[in-house]
Amino acid sequence: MTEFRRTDASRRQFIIGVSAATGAAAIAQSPLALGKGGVAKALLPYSPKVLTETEVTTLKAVMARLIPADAHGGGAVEAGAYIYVDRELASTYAGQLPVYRQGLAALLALVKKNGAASLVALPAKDVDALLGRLESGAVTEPIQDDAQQNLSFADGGKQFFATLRQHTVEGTFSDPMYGGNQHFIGWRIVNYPGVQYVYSKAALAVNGKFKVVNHSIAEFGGKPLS
Amino acid sequence: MKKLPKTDVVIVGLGAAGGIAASVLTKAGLRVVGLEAGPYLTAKDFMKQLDEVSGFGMRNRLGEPKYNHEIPTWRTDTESKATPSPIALRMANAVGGTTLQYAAMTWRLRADDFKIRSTTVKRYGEEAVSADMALVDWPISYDDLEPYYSQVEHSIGVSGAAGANPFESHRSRDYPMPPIMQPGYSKMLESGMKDLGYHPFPPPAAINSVSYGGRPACTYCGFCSGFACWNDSKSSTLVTSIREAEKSGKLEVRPLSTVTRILTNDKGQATGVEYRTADGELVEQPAGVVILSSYVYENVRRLLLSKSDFFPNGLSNNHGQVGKYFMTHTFVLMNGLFPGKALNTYGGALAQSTAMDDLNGDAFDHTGLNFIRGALVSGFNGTLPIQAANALPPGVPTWGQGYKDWLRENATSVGNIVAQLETLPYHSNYLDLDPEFKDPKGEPLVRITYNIHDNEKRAGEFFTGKLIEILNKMGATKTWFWLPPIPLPVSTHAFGGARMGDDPATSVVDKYCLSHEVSNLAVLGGATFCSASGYNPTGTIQALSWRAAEHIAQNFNKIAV
Repeated sequence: MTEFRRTDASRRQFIIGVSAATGAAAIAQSPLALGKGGVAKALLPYSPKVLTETEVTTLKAVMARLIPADAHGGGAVEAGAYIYVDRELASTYAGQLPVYRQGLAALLALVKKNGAASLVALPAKDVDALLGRLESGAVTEPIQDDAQQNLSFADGGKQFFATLRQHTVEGTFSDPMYGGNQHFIGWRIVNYPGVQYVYSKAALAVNGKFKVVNHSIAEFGGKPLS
Repeated sequence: MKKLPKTDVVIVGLGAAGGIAASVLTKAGLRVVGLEAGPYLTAKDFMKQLDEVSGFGMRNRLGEPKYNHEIPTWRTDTESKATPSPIALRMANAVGGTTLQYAAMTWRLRADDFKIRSTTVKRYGEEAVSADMALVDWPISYDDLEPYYSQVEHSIGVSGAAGANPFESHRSRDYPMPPIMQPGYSKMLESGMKDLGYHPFPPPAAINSVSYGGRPACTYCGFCSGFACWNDSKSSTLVTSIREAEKSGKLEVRPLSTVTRILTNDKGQATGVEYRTADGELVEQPAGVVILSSYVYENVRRLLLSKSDFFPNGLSNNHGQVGKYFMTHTFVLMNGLFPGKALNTYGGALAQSTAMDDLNGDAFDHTGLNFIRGALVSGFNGTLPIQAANALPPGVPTWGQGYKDWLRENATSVGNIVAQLETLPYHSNYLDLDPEFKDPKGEPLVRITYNIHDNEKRAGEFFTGKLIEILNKMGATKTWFWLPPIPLPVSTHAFGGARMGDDPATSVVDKYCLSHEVSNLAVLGGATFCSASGYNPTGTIQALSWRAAEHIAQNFNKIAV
């Protein structure tokens, strides 16, 4: 059963008190918040729970194209969406681990067959083309790994692509406590201001100014459900 | 099996219905045991749960103790095999039930909703009611229920404005609180609807707009629908009726207690319930009256699983009516793009919306329209980031640089509007036990046999057009489906299965929600509804529960065994 932890009442009373007094949540700056100018800090080192180093490398190469980094800021990889996926494959999405293993191995085998060492070695447009084929279910050719094991996609890759895309989105835009959205990179893309307990009327007006607080619920005792 | 001391009333499920019943019964001096399958949580727990992944829309944290593992299966007709439902709106298991995480729109039905068959026939003739429909008038009228709606609104605390909706039926009292704050997007909806000649108004919400009942006003945190309130501002039964009943000293709440069977004697009367404790022990709780007040699916499942020599086909099912006339709302959800406008819907509550009743029920003339009844039209406030990252119009890339560019530019410029279609009762839509799929305890899941019919399909097309018209009037440059009008079998707006009526041959409970066949058993909740209406069900569930509990309290010596 899910663990329902309890927290101390004092913190809640503090927030309610502050809210009542000021009409806004004056909560201490988040330790995870971005520095001035929004420069993303480097991710902390992470050791995968279930994926192999090779699988993570392939996954990152895919994610780098699903939500790429650009002049405005980081993308899925910089946000650590692969960390989210690895954590979830070790828990909530454990049933999908074989699908990931086969799918990632198939992608690697495909590019190797075409002479590249890995997805990382391919130009971005070639990875995009491969992902495009996967998305439309066009990867119908037989795929084998070095040990002659069959890795072909039964549906041309459609389902695997949909899973990769959905999990990349989840990892990029979920609360950072799940491993992705590090430094609030995902939330910045969609202008989500972070968890806050109070919104003023002005903040809910069309084109109204709202405070970007960049808080994770983990700062208030939240724990991932996985 | 351990047998506990007898109590006056045992309530199975402390949610929207059971919570209200507990408060009314204990106020009348009766001793009540409340059994709840989920844990006893409070605001201290909820304030750590402001997290989209664990919310109702994704992993449904509060349904983990039970509901997530017993989601009904679905098939469209008796010829097909049911499979796990592809979409499911899900319930919560905790003291307070799904009122912890509901959107809290708290509606009254209108007078014509209770006379659905007769008003239809009177206005459009017998031919408007086709043979597939199981359309009946309720055995009670709006006037019968009006005093109880009023009691509920004042007892739990509902914010709204009397008279703001010109289509509402008469009310004896105003709401106890003014409407909750209207955010910018709701004002856009309001002017769009007004420009088209409709009559928009702020929907009634069981959310404190000002401090009420010793609880603070809402702070519009943005984690409302699908999340439990950390500030006790949402009027869940946990912080209203259950808290009140516990204070009386007459209610004993037993969390983590899952009822397995309703027990009966050789006369077919209920003698109490059997339940499983947190430690897995089976215990008998004898009671003078049994109130079954879990959700529609579980109410029906528990009846069907409580078999005995007297009731070989399930409790209160000797007329074969348990599970019949199942309904759920059919939703038409549309998005609109308003470029250059930051709608700022990340904060706030879903219920902070704007609604209109112009096209609901029989508020408008259907002559020439090919369908009967209608829909509540409103827009949802409140968006969360994963949801925003998936709200893409057709034609926009779903990945890559184009996707990211589009999100950066437009993610806060998507608004929505929804028509909550009144789905009619049909003979072919019903609930029973799945012959194959079981929950982790080995009990069969509920099987839903359900499809929408021509009436809903035609209404769906009509409302799609109307919603697009409103979005366009509001200035949308693109409109698209969030969810088209398709069957949504597993829903938080489920109805039927233990229909209310005067005739035991066509209904399960009487007009006080007491079983026709088991005189001291009450069934509370949406299961008893004769029709769905276009409204969210909880307000009516609670008014009916109040009325039933009052009837039981006033006639306790006659009813109790």
